[in-house]
Amino acid sequence: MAERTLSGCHILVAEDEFLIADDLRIELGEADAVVVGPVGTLREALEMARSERRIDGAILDVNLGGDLAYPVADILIERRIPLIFTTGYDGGALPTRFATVARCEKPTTITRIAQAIGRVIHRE
Amino acid sequence: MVAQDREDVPPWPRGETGMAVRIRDRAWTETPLGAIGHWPQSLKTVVDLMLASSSMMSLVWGEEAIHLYNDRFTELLREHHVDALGQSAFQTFARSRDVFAADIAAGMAGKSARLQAQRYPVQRNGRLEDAWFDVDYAPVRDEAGRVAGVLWTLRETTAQVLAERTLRESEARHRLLIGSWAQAVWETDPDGVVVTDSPSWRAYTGQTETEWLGYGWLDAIHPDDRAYAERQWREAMTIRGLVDAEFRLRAPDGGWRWTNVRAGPVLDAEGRIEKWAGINIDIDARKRAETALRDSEAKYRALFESMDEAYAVVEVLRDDHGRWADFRFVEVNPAFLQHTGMPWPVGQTATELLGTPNPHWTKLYGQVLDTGRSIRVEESEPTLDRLFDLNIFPLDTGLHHVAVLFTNITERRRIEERVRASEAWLHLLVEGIPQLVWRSAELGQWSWASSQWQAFTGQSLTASIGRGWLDAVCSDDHDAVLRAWDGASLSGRIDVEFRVRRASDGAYVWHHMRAMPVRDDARRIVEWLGTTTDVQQLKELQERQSILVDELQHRTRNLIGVVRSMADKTARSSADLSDFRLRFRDRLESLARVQGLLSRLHDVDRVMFDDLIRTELSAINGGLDHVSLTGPAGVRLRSSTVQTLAMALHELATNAVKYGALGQATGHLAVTWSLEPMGDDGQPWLHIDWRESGVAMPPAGSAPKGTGQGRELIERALPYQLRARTSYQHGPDGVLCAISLPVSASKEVGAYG
Repeated sequence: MAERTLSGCHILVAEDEFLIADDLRIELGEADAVVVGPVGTLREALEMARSERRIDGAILDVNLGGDLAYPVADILIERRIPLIFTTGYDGGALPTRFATVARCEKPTTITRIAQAIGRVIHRE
Repeated sequence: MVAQDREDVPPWPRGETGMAVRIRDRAWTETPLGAIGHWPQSLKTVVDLMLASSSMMSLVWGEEAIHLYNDRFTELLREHHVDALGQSAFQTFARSRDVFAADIAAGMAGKSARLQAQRYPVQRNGRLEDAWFDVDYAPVRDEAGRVAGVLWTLRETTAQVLAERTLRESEARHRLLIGSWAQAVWETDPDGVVVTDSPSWRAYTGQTETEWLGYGWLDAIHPDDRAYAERQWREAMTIRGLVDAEFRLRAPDGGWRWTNVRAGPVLDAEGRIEKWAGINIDIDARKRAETALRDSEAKYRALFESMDEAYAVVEVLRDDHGRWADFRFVEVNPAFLQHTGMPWPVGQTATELLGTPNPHWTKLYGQVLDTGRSIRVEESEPTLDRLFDLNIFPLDTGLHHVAVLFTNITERRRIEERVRASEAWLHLLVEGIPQLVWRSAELGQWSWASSQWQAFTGQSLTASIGRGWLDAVCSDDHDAVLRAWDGASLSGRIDVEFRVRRASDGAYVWHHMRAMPVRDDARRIVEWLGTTTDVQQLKELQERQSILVDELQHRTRNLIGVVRSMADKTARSSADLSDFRLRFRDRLESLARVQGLLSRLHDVDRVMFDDLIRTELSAINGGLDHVSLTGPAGVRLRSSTVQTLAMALHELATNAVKYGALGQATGHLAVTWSLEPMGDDGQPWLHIDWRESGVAMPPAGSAPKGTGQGRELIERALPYQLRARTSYQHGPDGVLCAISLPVSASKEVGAYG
């Protein structure tokens, strides 16, 4: 079901851990999604969020090599692009403006992350 | 002529003494009367009468008032040293002529009279004195029936007149005296019954005459005193004695006045009571003063006996040289004994009581007497081991009496000193602790703040009082602070955090205010006592800790993600489960090693590349036998890069053991590295060169063994995750790998090792 939902969707992946980013790339690829990125730094993620013409959804690691990914999220929200956060932090740690943003707390399976972004996009 | 007299007639007047002789011997021919032998019979008859009389008699004859008199009369003239016989009376008594001239004229005119208490000046006892006489004068006619002279009969009444006058004066004086201090004067009959009016009594009491008469006067006496007054009166009647009683008498205004009645019997010549005379003296003022004094004295006595303060009257004593030398207790109150702990001292001197002379106290008391000024002083008495607070004042400088009012303040002083010491100690504590201490009324109205607050905020004490301290509080926090104070009386505590402006740099520093209420016995809040503590560092540490916890979570969860991913990848490339087990364990151990390196670090430390490479290669079988490591020590790696770099190095080393330089006897591994202080991006870069040699390589074209995961890490993960530039290739006799990555900006670069 997730595969069908994500099919053809352009998903931005911002994840500083290569192995996880690579797994996501593979998983989303298997679901016929088009991965934008993945990128591992805030600078690259901002660049993508601003300039990439088509993004249907985004998976953002909150912590990108020590930098918080919030500015990226702000841009995406402004672009009305659905997104989810993947985070190693507890639920309470996010700023309140992201209260409605779905979160996947690590560790979680790549499958579940893919499902989560699917649900967010579907709701849109 | 004498002979002639003898011859012709018997000598006249007859008699051998006194005036008869003098008249007979007088040379009368030279006088207007002429020779005695020719005197008319009328004259001679009167002279005989006069000489024969025992009364004082004097005769003036003729117009010239020739004076003749008898022996009694001579006494009047004796001290005048005049020989008035045969002289004109006008001449002899020239000085009192005006007294008698008119009488002589009247007598010569045929009149007679009796004059009482005629005053004639008479020389007596060497001076002219007034003398009084009852005088009869009567005309004496000659043979022709004409008035020829005036005969005077005198009876001296001087003593009587003087006695009467003295009496009169005495009575007047008494009347004056009585009138001046008696308000009422009255009389009763011999039985003590009032029968005559007394206007002064009526004026004094307001009684009418009817009320006054009889025994009505008793009705004017105060009911409480009436029986007493009546008894006094009756007793006096019985014993015929004097009355001296004091009682209250009605006054015209309806009130009562104290009166002193004095009365006594008036006796007649036979010693019988003729009447009773009495007076009333008003003593109301004196009586009231006495009562007031008595009351006052009683009050003072009661005060004196019951007051808590010690009181003593001492007489200061002089020595033989007139210097103050000692003192004696004249009077003390009961409290004196408690305050001093001394035995009953009255009548004894200080020397007797304390065993030694006491110059100190003596001097103080003497000083008060000398100056007449009271003094207030605190003095200790070593023999009693007590401290006194004394008021010494002169009482009677004539008697050398000094009064001392004092209290034993030994214990009070001890407590005061303890409190003072305690306060000083507390003050030291309050000023010494890092907290800012303050006192406050309700709603944050400070009444005092310790000096630390002033030092921190730069506010003066005055400026911080009331709610002035809020000026030093960050305005964003005012609401929170005021809310805390509003709820304080209900919650019974203050616990709030806010930022306070630091005077030294203007920075707002977090402070924690805590306060507890001070309550009175009724559990009402009297004031608040609180501290304000700088919690900036604490807050920073907490934030830091919170970040660290978050970071740890992040790393842990990422690590688990990595492990899982690693497991997936290992599983995919493993031939069977035992192969998987070996390889997975191997990788996990590598991961553990790098975690070990990371966990040993302090916050600011960094993992050094040389440590990392040594740790990784040392873990391999055979160790560093075929390895040469060349490069500077102390190149600091970014913490975020360590794990991935370590994993890449591990893969390289594992492959080298299995297929390359570390697995073959001829093989050699040379790892060299260098630091480029300023790379393309302005950051320091580390360049690592991994060069294997002497390795028997598989034939060209065949796939190299076991390089999949290592290559992927180096060629993809490092660039992705570390922004590294990498190359990986199979050289003729071994793997050649180059990795360049940005490293931590390092201040210390160790020597090349």
